[in-house]
Amino acid sequence: MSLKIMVVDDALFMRNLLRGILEEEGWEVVGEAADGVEAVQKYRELKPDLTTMDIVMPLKSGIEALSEIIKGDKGAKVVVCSAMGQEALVKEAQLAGAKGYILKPFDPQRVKEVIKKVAGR
Amino acid sequence: MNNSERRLLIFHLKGEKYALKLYDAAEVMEPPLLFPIPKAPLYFLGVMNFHGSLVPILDLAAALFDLGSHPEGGKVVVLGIHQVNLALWIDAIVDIISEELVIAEHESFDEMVEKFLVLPDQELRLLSIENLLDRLEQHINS
Amino acid sequence: MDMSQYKEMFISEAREHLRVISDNIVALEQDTADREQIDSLFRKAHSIKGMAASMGYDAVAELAHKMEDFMDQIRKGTHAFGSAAADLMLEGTDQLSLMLKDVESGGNGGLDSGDLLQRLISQLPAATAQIFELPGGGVFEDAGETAAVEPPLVLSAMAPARSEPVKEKLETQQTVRVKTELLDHLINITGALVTNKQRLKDIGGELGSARLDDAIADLAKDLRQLHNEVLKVRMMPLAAITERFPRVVRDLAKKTGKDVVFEMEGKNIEFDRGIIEELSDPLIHILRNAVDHGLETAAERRAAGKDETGRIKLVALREKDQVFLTISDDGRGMDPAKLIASAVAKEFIRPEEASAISPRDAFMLTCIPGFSTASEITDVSGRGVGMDAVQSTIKSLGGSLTIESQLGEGTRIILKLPLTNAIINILLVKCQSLIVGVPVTNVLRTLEIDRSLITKRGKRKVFYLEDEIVPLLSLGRILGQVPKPLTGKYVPTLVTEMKGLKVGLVVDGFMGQQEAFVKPLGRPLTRLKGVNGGAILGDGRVIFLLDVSNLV
Repeated sequence: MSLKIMVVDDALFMRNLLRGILEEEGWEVVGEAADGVEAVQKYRELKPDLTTMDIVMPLKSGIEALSEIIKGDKGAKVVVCSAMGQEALVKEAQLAGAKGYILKPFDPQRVKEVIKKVAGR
Repeated sequence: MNNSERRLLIFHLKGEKYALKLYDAAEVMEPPLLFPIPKAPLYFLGVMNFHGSLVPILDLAAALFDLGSHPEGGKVVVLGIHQVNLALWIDAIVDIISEELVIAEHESFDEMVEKFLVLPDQELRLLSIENLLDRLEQHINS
Repeated sequence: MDMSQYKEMFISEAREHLRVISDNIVALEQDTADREQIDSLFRKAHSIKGMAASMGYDAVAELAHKMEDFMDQIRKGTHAFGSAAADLMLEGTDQLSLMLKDVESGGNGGLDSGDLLQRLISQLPAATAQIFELPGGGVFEDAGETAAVEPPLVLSAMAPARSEPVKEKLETQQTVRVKTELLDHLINITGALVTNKQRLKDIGGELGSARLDDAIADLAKDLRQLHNEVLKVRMMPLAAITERFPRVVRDLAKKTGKDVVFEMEGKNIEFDRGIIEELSDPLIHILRNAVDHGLETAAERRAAGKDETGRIKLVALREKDQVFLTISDDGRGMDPAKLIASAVAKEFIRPEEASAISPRDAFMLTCIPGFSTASEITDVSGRGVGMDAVQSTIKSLGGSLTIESQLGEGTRIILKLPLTNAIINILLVKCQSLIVGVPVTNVLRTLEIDRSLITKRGKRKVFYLEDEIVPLLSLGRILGQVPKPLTGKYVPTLVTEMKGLKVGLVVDGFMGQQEAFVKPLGRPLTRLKGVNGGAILGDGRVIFLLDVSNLV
């Protein structure tokens, strides 16, 4: 299954880590964004098959960016990334239209499973 | 790490046999053209242009035993250690052997000798490069 | 999964975050309601937590997590950001820095934080938030309006506050990370080319071929361009080291009970890496001096009719190939007469020399090793490097230091620095059989003194340079050569500054100026005092560069 994925996170380290996990599976990371504003912009340009979206970010939170992306593209597949202890945010993301979530620290197997399931639908 | 066996470079210095980990040596060469080093102790014989790097050459016997001799002939061993620019003027290269030939090791009270290495047919002094560098740095301005 | 490949990146990014956090804290102390700073602080702690957890550095993640929770309380307004909060967060930042160091040297950051965690936790409400136990990842059955989930409980608290999209936008510019060794490599190759050009030029001089000379001139032009481009990549903004300055000033102000406002200008001015890395310690020393000795206490300031809050300013200004760094305070200033008296008392200068010292030179007396103007050595700036070390560092970078001061109004320290010191102009000096290079920036002038004008003052040889009495030293003798009596009618002399005082160095002759690529010496020669790198001349000869200020 070939997939074009966009990775959104304000930490370069996290973006690289995710990129490593995703590319291991043969998926293509077509773009990265470091804040919510850039995420919305790049989503429009790149039209990725799937987007991983960090929640706590500068300028515009992941949830706000997610809502905007869904507004423009009802079928957008966005998986949010959150940290343990902030599960409440995950619920909020679900309400905003997220299709799945992954928790930091990432378990590579889990990340791949979630992405496969969300992308497969 | 890798499968290349560890080897020792054996050299002569004032009638004694010394050893150096081959890993710490970058090159063995004939004595090169030297340029004077201002203010440095006399056992620094000078500096050479080693592939574009400035490498001072140490009269090892003079530095270890205070012999102050000007070596004649001999070979120069350029060290290949990170952030170290130094070459040792020694009397002669004897051999390069595998570390596996070492059958026993003894402590040494000479801080310039890391330990004695016992081989079936000979005994070697393993030069302590770290202590040598420390001593050189301590005395360099005196 | 092999995480070691991410370690370096983790450390460098976490460090960047810590720097921002320190900045945020100091800014918040000035304006405790600055929403943008609060949010940024929270996010950075959050980021470090996530990164550390991913690397498996649990202690780092835990501490960052508690700091994040604490900041969350402040975001919500449960806590105000007072100086106690600032101290606590700064303590946490320091501890995280130590942990990163541990990670860097191969540990897992698992250092003992003492009761720091407990003190952070004591600031948090008993149950921080509703904890949902979720597995490490999951797929929502059918997201959207039909979702059967209970309404979130901690909604509003976490909704990030909107901030103006200004500052942080810069971070997303297209950048490439390159290993620093690669940058060093590039300058090395460029340096080798410069050396070779010089060689060609020497040969060209012997051959007398106009065509060859033209070709070399073109090559020189291209090389200068290449050199400029390579230098551009090596440039780092001053901001790379100034991030912690507000913190340094703040901590010391607190310790000395002074009220200080610290401002910086020109943080984006860029220097070569080689210079930037050496500048941090001297600048911090000057700042500490300014807080500790320069500024008066609030009471003294009030009595003098000044604003109780002292001001310290660091300004960077670029002028062509040089940068002027000025550190000024509006404190008590220095009294030249007192400095001179003190120098006489300590026998740094003779009583009869005292009257000849200008106020400007009097301030420079503070750069003599062992000279301290503070009536008592205080805990804060009395130790470690002194102004003499500051001056010799600046000189070794090819720069210079001047001090201006007005009694009662304040002190200004001006550092003049080159943008780069990898390829510099040197003056070749002959000293019997030895040839050495002196950075042109360290040469005040060269002259040939008429031998009959050299006189003696006590045991010392001196000469008059215009109206000034300047001592004469033999460079050969300093460099350990056998002294040789002065013959000839004229004595070639290089005038330079040592420890803040003008000195004439007698040499055997000058061999012209040229560009040289400075090569580092490595262990053990790098410890050799008075020598600062070497260079290879066009003909292959190796020479050493003198660090004039540390020669004696």
